[in-house]
Amino acid sequence: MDLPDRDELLMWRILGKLEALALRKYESVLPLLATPAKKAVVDQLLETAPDDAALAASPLGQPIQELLQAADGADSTATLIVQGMVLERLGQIIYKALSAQQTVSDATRALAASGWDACAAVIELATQQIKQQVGEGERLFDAFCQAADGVLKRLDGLGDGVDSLFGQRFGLTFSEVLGEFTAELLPACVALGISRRKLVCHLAGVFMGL
Amino acid sequence: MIAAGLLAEGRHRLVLPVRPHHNPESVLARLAKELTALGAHLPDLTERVTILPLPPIDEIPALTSTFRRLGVEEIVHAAGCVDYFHSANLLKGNVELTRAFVNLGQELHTRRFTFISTAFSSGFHTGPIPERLHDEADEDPTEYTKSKRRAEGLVADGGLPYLIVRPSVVIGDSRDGRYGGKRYGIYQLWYAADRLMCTEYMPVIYAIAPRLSMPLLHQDAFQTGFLAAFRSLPANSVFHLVSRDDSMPTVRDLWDLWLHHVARPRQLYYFQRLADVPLEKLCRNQQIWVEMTGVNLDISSRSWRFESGHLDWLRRHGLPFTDVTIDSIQTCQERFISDSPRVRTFIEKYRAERAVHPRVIECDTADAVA
Repeated sequence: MDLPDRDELLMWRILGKLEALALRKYESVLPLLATPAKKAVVDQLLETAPDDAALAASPLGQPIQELLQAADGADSTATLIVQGMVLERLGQIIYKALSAQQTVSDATRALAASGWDACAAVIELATQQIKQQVGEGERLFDAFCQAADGVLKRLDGLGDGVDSLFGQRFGLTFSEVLGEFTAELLPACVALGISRRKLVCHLAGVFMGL
Repeated sequence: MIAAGLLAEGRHRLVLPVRPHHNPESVLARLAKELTALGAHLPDLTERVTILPLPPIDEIPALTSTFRRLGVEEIVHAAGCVDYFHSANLLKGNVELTRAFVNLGQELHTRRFTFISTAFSSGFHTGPIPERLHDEADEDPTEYTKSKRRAEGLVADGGLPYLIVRPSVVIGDSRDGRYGGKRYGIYQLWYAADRLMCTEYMPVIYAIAPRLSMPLLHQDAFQTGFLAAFRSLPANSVFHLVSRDDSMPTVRDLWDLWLHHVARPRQLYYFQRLADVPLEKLCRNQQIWVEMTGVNLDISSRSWRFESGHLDWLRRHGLPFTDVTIDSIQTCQERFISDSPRVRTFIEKYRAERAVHPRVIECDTADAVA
């Protein structure tokens, strides 16, 4: 299969909207994170899947819209944490799952590989910037809660849509995405001095609770 | 629950300052729903309830004239933050907000200030936990408990007669399982199972399930207990609103109920502590499930024995009070399942796989796992 099918294009559109928002935020407040590789991925996503019709008609239309709104914080600290720390990792998980799928097109697998690389590079830059700009340990934990809770709470809203649209097709279930995402996020935060117990407890509340 | 209970008593008019994400219609609808569920006469709520936007904390003093005009005679402060470790939110939501309402009560010379705290405000404590104000604790399960202890101190030092109510972890109604609260406590555990463990059948499950009791309280018992204390207890009382220890299910009972009735794996590894679970052997969503439920159950890693002199007295004087039992938790669990499309689908879809009797493997350490 050389070309993405309808399901793949829906996934491209979702990634395109998330990645385009990230790039826009980086360009406005953290230009060093607006890397050429990230721009290339965004261009490719938006050129191949340029319109919202299929997404808007799907069960993910509304939850993605809410996630984008929550992720549209104005300042550079919020952008660093929400985009550079949280959503880049979520993107990585999705790209990783897609690149391992034999049932998707070559185009999707190639995009997934370059998307993963671009996320990895931005995460590395963002991590350095977080240390300088926000700090580590308790200070970072407080800033993380302040900036990221709104976005993390919106992830739960994606659950049913992800399972129904992508569970069978891409073997991508919400529980696996959440598990992989949390498993990536936790050690990264611990490496920045955040208490694992506090963070797990907080994430449980944000994902499963209030 | 508190507002509906006070309205059902028929004597009170309420002024409810509510956070901006609520609107009067949604608040009145919730009150009407709760009153209907209680089987209470539905009063004209617009006559009995005044709903105001809760202003930012530093603007709360400006409520004084409005409250005075509305004839506010006492304050029941039930708002707060239940985030376990978010210091900034806890300071704002539990300490500063309480301080602002105590100050407001002083301005209004209210006849009493009632504060909903938590049974765990003592922090970790050896021996029975007294129904009085606590000293500083050596160790707290979370920063939430510390912030509630601080707030209790502000209430007690405020110079107004007070009632401090300390409920344990509130769960659904003992009769039909309905639950009107936020998703925390066992609801967070069940929801984590819903989200992480009910996508596909898991033949092997690892769980942290010590035989230590979970201090739970049914919401109907919370309501009747609160109302009785509000009516009857003398000024400056501290009231433990908790179920009896001897009927209280353990964490193990709780997981037995879920894992034997819903998940039904072929093998079930039970651990005492998070530190004993070989996380590296688990798939990632199960890792996260174990870790998230583990920290949530931290509070049950120690024994909590609450003095309950006031509640015992109220019970002796006719208070109907339903203690939590494994059967009443099952009622709540069944309600949760019936309200969860995902869990119902899981049960139906994996009927064949779930037709097993799970083999339980008791693990004291990670080495016990083959």
